Amino acid sequence: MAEKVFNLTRDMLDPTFADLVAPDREKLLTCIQCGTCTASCPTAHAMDYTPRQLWRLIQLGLKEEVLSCNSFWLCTACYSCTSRCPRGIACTKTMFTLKRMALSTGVAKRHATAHFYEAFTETVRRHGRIHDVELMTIFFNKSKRLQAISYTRLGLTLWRKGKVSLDAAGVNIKRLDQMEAIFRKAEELERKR
Amino acid sequence: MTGHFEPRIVGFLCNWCAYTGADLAGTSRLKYAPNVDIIRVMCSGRVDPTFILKAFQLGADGVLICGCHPGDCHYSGGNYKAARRIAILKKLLKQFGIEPERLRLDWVSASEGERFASVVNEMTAQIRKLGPLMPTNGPEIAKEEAKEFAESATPG
Amino acid sequence: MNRTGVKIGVYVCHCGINIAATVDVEAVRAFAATLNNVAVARHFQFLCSAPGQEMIKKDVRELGLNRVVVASCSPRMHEIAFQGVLADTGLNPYYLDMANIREQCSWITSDTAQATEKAKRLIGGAVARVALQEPLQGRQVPVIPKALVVGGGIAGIQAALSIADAGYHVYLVEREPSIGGRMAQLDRTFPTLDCSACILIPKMVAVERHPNITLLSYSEVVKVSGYVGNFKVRVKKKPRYVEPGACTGCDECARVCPVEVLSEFDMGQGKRRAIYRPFAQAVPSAFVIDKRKSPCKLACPAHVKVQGYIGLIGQGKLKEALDLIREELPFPSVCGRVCLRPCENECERKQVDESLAIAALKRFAADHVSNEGPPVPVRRTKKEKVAIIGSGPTGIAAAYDLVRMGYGVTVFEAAPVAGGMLALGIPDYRLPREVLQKEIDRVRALGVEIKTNTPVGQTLTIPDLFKQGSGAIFIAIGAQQSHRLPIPGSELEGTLAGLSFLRDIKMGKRVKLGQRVLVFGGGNVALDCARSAVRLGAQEVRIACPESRETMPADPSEIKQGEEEGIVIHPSRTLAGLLGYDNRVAGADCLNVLRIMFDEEGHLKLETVPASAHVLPADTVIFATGQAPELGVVSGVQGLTITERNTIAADPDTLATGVPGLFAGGDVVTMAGSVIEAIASGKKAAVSIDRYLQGRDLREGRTEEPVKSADFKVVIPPGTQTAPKQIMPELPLKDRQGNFKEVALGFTREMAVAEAKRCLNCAVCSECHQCEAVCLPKCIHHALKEEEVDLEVGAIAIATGHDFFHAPLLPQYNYGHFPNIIESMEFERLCSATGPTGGKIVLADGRVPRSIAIIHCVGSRDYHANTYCSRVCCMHALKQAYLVKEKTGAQVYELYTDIRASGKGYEEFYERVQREGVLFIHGRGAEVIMQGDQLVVKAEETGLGRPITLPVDLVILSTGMTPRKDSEQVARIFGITCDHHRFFMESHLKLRPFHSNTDGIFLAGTCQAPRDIPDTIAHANASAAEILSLLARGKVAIEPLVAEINPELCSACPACICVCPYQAISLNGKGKRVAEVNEALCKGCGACAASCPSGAITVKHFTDRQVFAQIEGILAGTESRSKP
Repeated sequence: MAEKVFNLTRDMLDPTFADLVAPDREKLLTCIQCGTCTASCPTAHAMDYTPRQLWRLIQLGLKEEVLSCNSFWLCTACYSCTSRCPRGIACTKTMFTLKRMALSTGVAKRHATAHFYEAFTETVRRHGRIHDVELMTIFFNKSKRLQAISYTRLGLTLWRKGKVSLDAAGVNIKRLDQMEAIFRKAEELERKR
Repeated sequence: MTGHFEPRIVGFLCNWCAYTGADLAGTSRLKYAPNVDIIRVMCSGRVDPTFILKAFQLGADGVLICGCHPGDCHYSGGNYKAARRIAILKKLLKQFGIEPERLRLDWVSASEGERFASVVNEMTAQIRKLGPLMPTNGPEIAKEEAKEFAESATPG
Repeated sequence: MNRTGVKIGVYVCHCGINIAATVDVEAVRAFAATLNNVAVARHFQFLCSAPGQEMIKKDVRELGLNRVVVASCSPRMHEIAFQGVLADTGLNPYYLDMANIREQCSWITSDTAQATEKAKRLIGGAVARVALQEPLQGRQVPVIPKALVVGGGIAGIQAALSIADAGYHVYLVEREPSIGGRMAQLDRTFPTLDCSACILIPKMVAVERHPNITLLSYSEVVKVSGYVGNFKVRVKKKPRYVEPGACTGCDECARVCPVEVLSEFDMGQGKRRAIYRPFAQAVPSAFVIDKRKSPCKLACPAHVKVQGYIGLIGQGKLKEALDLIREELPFPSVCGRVCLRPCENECERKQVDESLAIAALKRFAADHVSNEGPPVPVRRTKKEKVAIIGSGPTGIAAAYDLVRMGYGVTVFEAAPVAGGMLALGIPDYRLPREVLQKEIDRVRALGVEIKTNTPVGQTLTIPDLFKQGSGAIFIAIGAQQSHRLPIPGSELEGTLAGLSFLRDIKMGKRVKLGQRVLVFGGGNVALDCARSAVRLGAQEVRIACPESRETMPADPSEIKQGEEEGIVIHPSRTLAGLLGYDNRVAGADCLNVLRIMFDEEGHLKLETVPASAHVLPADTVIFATGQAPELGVVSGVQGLTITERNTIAADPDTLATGVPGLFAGGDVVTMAGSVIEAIASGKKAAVSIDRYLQGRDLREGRTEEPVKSADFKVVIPPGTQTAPKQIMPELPLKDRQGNFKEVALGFTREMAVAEAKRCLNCAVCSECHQCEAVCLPKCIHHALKEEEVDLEVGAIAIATGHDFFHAPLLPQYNYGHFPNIIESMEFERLCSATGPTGGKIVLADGRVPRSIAIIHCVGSRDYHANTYCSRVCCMHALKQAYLVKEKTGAQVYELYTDIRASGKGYEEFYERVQREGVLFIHGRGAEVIMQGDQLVVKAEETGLGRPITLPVDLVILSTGMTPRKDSEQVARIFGITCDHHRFFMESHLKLRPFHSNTDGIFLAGTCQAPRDIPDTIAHANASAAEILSLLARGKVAIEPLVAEINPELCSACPACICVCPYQAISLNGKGKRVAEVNEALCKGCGACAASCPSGAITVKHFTDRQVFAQIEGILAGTESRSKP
């Protein structure tokens, strides 16, 4: 960012980006850049762009910058920002929208959090609940294969204490069909959006 | 029904609160349904039931009366009188074959431009759904009501 | 329809593009031209301009128009101007009608087709209506050449001075004890850094000295009626209890006042006393006493100043405490021992832990005052004599009060000793006889003659007493007959009447008791009998009573002590009969009681359990249920009514009997039974007798106040810790055997002081009178009362000021949870030399802060609080930063959202503060937390794009201005409205920001919107100018929009009279009675018109026919109509 001089008329690539992102576009335009959201955020210090900077990027229509940063992936949905924003902007909701957008436009392929979400939904859909070992296996497989090795010690300790099991028998919930129905409905709603 | 139905609504607004609130909506350039034609009165308590009936008779699809909030009437309690009259009038309207929802009483203060706009929008949408006023079966409805009343009064 | 002779001119305004951009003005004009009676229709760019108005006038002259319709902006904008245009041409101004095609048409829709159609409809309505309009004459009413200014802050002060300097009289009403408002609380003001007091005080003094200003401080407006030029205002003047003219402000009173509460002027950062002056330069400079209601004093039937003596005991001033009690009670020692304590039931301390041990404190004061000589006899100042029959608490209380009023008082007592039930009914272990005797001797020493062994009703009768010169007689003989149950065996040997039993013991007679005593009754008399029996050596003592254990009327502590002493209680029993052996009682036949009921006449009925008969062994049975008066005293008296319960009938409020000059009170009337009620009755009789002898009305002004009124609210001081109630030490059981030594031993000094300090000071001022004692000019008068005055003024300026946003509403700032987080006005008080720290900026523990964070926009520009910007906070935050730098070496951080520095000299001040080294962080302070014992502020350094944590010693929250808490109630009183933030609503935000929507009432200062001092002064002067304009004109035009009644149609029903809120209609009595409107009172609301069943009433300029025509015109459609 520091190298480029923005010629704003042309760099406003996507003036409708704000529309797509915000549940209430007019609200997002009223951001006064006060920084309350950043100050309240427990993970802001680890973000590429602080939440405040993120809203600015959205207002300016800089879609690439927004979707390729890690900020919204680090959102824990604590709602501190939303509860304190003096303009009443639904910050947390916007973060969720960005996550969805990143996933659907394929940008997310590069972020570990997205892989974790996918691994999570896969194991839950298959079993009706989390199968810990399967979850971690799928996750490491998708993203950081080598990192799996550093988890070996933890895995052995857990296994010794009976906290994880390697076999899949008895993991499924009784009414798996109901869980499947939930997932199908969610997919249907996603398509409608 | 041919063509697009635009509800015709007559509004009686009190000078001190509601009319000023409606002016504020305009000064704030709020955009809302233009279907209410406003007649200024000094107080909602001035609104005689005959005004309302006259409006319906002459073709209004709806009548809106707006006054000051309870407790704030410029003339002490005119809005309470309006509330009582209209409560009774609504019962009568049914017998005339007029849906009581076509008559609406609401409170708008001088600072409530947005509220006035939303009241008008709501009422216009509702009248649009009800359709134009065609009071034809008043006598039938009156007979129905009388029968219901007689049945509820007799024991057993 | 075509009305002959009506010629209407219709003018459609473009209003530039405001109307013309949306409404097709030519189409509308063309449509208007086709309407009935329209002689000409034109459109024009700006009708309100001079050429526009000229055009209308020309048409009127040349075309002979006699009606005008202007379709333009809202009539609320320019109706008066256009009415003026008609008047200029000689036409009656009420021949004008306006169609609002701007605010209610062109501005509210972007659909040009719809807007144009709507404009046509509205004009159709106006044209139809105007044809029926009548020429009306307005009235001119005189304007009262006086003004009222409500609120004595800088706005009110400025307005008052401007009006007064112009030569008109002003009433300035201020709710607080002093004028000065918020400005008086400031240390320095921005941007000049003037000392606020230095620039304000001269104006305050000018107000006080101004011959044209009447200052009503510590007063409130409670009612406003009337209309512009003629307002009637009722003002309630709260009692200061200090004479303002005489108070020298010496402060001696505050030094001795025992009550300390948080100071409102110091925003709770410091304390003040119950008698206080808000600040040293207060105007008026007189002190004021904050006196509220205490439940204890109100609950006490004698209204003793409970909080007062408790406070004095806490200070160790026992003699003063005793004197205060003795203002009302002749028997402090007695009441301190035996009172039923209604005060303790209402004591608010129970909200914290338990109620205070009030009676025990009273006893402590009475017991521990030593070296007290006999009282000085009261001088007899009145010639009348009063005779009191009965020396019990009722009689003595009456005697005590009457002798102090200066009367001659003689008490006639049949018994050998004085004191009534106190001497003859309450055992010594509860009330030692020496204690009672000492107090009766004091009463005698005051000048009351007590004649014992002198019964009335035999050789000496009441008529005799009157003949001997008594001006009034008070019967207070009590109810001393014990009532034996009318059951078989009640006359056997070994049966006793309870009161006689107790009396014999007190008189020192030997009483023969058996070994097994059964006392029947559940009240204090029964416990007295039972515990006395124990002491006289009975082996087994039982109590049987019809009440259940929980509902026994006896004092719980008596029951507890009785059971400790071995008494066995058999509740829910009644006696069916007594079994005798050898003509002596041997046992009691008992039945279990299921339920106690009262029949229609109030007689007791017991429902017993069938087949529950059992026997309780007893060789002595004492009846202790019920007492009755013995009425031999009334022999020879004519005209007295005796009730069927054998009591004397007396008026409950005045205690008068049917016989003039004869009063009766106490148990002989009410049989209520408690000592304090008896005393209260005696005091009531004294008041009645005094009024009777002086020829005044007995009843006037004697209503009792409720104990807790609807708006009673006790303030529990913050930081009040729980503290246990002191427990009365008691004589150990083994020491009580066989004697009548007092069981309750009394508090020690430490216990008394500790207990007294638990008092919450509900009334603030406790009426201990210490202030009065030290006041040299003698200007303190506790008996002063509230006053109401009625003012008549021509115009009113409301300048009631503002409050501040309440920081606890935003919990992320942790205000009140951690120390050293304060609001900006609280900090202002710390900075001020007249504040609680003398101007030193210190933390809660007294240290000087090394770093301070000032957080802007707390509660402002915030959807979760107030959405508006409070305008002044940026500047006063800058000023406070500057003051910190001036007074300490602390580092200051300003956490801001935007810096609003738009006034003259403001931006320069900002720069100056920056140069002082104050660090400005553009990032709203989002949260204040505690890490260990370090305060930390969290924000984002937006310049760097990084979240930061800021450790500081002190956090100042710049809280925004808000309307006063009660702005809506105040608005109702004056008949003005509030906006949606609850500030008072102005008539027009740009053009008339100091007019309210009610003619004659103006707004000055922050009550209308947040503003700084220069703008407040300008705003206030603007209101003053309007008021002066009104007063100088001397006359104001009242619109003739009044109701009109057609006498032909009126049937005098009189619905309109009931409905009119101004009582402007009355029936005239000449010939055919019809309703008539008083035009001076009528405000034209039209409620009567809508209520008339005969259709006889209409409102001028808003007649039924005019409204019908308007409805018709609107609904007639927008198709062009050809003229007939």
